[in-house]
Amino acid sequence: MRQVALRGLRVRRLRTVLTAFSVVLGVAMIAGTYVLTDTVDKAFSEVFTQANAGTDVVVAPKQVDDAFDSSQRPLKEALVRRVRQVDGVAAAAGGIQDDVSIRNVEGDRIGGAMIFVLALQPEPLDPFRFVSGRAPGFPDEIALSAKAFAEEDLQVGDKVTVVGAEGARHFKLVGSANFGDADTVAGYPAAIVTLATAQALTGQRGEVDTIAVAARDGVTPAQLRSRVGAALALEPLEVRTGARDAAQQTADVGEAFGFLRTALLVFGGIALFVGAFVIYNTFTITVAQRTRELALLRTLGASRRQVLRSVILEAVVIGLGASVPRCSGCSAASRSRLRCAVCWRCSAPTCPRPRRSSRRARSSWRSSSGSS
Amino acid sequence: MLAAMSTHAFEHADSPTGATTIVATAGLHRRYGDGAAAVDALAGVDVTIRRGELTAVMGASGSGKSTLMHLMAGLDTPTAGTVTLDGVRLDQLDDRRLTELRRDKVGFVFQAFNLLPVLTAEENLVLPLTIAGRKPVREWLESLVQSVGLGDRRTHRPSELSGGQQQRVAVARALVSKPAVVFADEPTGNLDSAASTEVLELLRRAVDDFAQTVVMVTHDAGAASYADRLIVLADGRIAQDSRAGSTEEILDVMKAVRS
Repeated sequence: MRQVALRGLRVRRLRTVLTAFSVVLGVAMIAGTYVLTDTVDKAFSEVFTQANAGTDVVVAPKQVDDAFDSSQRPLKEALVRRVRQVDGVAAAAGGIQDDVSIRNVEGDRIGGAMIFVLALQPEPLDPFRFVSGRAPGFPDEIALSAKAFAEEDLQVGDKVTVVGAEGARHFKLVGSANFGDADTVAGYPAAIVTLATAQALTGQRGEVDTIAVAARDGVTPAQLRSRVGAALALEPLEVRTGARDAAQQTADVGEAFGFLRTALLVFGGIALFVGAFVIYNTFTITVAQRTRELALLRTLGASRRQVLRSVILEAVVIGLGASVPRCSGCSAASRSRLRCAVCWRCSAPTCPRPRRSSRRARSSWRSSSGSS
Repeated sequence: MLAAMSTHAFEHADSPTGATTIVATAGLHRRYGDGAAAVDALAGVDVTIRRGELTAVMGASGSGKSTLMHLMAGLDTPTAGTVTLDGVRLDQLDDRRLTELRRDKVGFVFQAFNLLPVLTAEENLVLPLTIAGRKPVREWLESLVQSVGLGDRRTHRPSELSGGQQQRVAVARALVSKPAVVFADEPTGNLDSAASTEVLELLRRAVDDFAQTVVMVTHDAGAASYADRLIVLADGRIAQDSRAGSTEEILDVMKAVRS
């Protein structure tokens, strides 16, 4: 009986392939959605974890829970000095994260509408690895994230104009850098300047968005977190470990991608729902076509159960045959990052053609990192 | 009452030649539809099929010969009356037992061959054993393949065989499980005369060489002439039950029945 079912699948190859194809279509969308969004999540997680590798504790302003004003008030720079004096702190530095726009000498925009501006951090807090040139050391020097630098065909020594909260300023390009291992910052281009320059550009003189803290040897991030927390107990701010901070940022990005996952799953669900009908119909037709054959088997002494089993076996072979290779194909593709050949310009940092600007993902990233 | 009749018929069914009864029917009645549209396909048939004989069942279209065969084989249930096959009352079997009985005690040959197109000739031939989960005995299989003349075509698909070859495979399939009785429903209805002769000779040899019991429904007097015994049905009743003679004699019998 098994032989009859399996042989039937092999001999009626076209029918088998078409039936399997309808199963594939239904399953692919769902599997693809999960693979895509999970891959994006994982990529972000890796980036934030890497970038936070040298950072044991992060100090950020407390989220203001107010329906009218969800922005965060920046921290006073004086807090950085107070953090440095806490026992067990090896280094502490203020950071600025904000949006600017950059133009080349011809006046054309570089790297899309918005670019992150990030203040250079001292070792070991520095998340940047310079791939060409050097880090900016003077107020009129700037470096770009590696991808934007390469894409815009820039050279070290080029002149660029940065437009920020306090108007336009001219800079000299001195290098390009990776953020952790990624050539973008969570999918976006970034400009790197000194802290003072960043403060001037964004109109935050004497203020920082976050303070990154590195622990001395022998002090765990958790210990350091409670010490810093105790020292700054009266301030309206949050102290979290670097790992927590990375997880938090990843979660925020994941949340921003939640809508994408939901939208895709809805489509996938519809595809599967329609697919279920297609599959049901296909099998109804299949069985109807085989009525004679099944009747013959019954006449020759096959039990109801044997006949039912042979039909179910056929369904299982098609179902598994179509969905297992599909799912494993998807995840294999994502492991080798081939998925980017089929995804549209996703925002994964590892994606060779990222989508430029998703306002939601971007603002979420900002709110988690803190901005004025 | 009916049960008593059936036992009665069964116990006294031994023929003068010493052949014993393999199938017996008692008061067999089959009505299709109900009310004014009701049709009595069989209107009380008592018949016995004897072991080791080739019995031909003839009759005009609608005389009830196919219905009789389906009831005897347990493919259909009678409105009234009983069928006893190899000592077992079919009306007392549940679906599972009936399925097993068809599998182990009955062989079928159909007008339309009914081989599975996805299996090879040999796989079709042993299908009843495959369904039962048994392995064919090598020598028996070889002798069957020999007598069917399948030879080098055992791995061919049915679509690659001629009609006569397909029907011979179907006959071999009916014989392979050595059933108590083989029912053949118009086995030559779709064949030319040469292929018909081969199939009929094969059925004849099954009876003579393997002591197989065969019941054959046919329209064709020439086919019926291969039988030992001739049963003629008319209007759901037995009109004639005698030794089968030559083709001419059978044609005369049919003419007599019709008039």
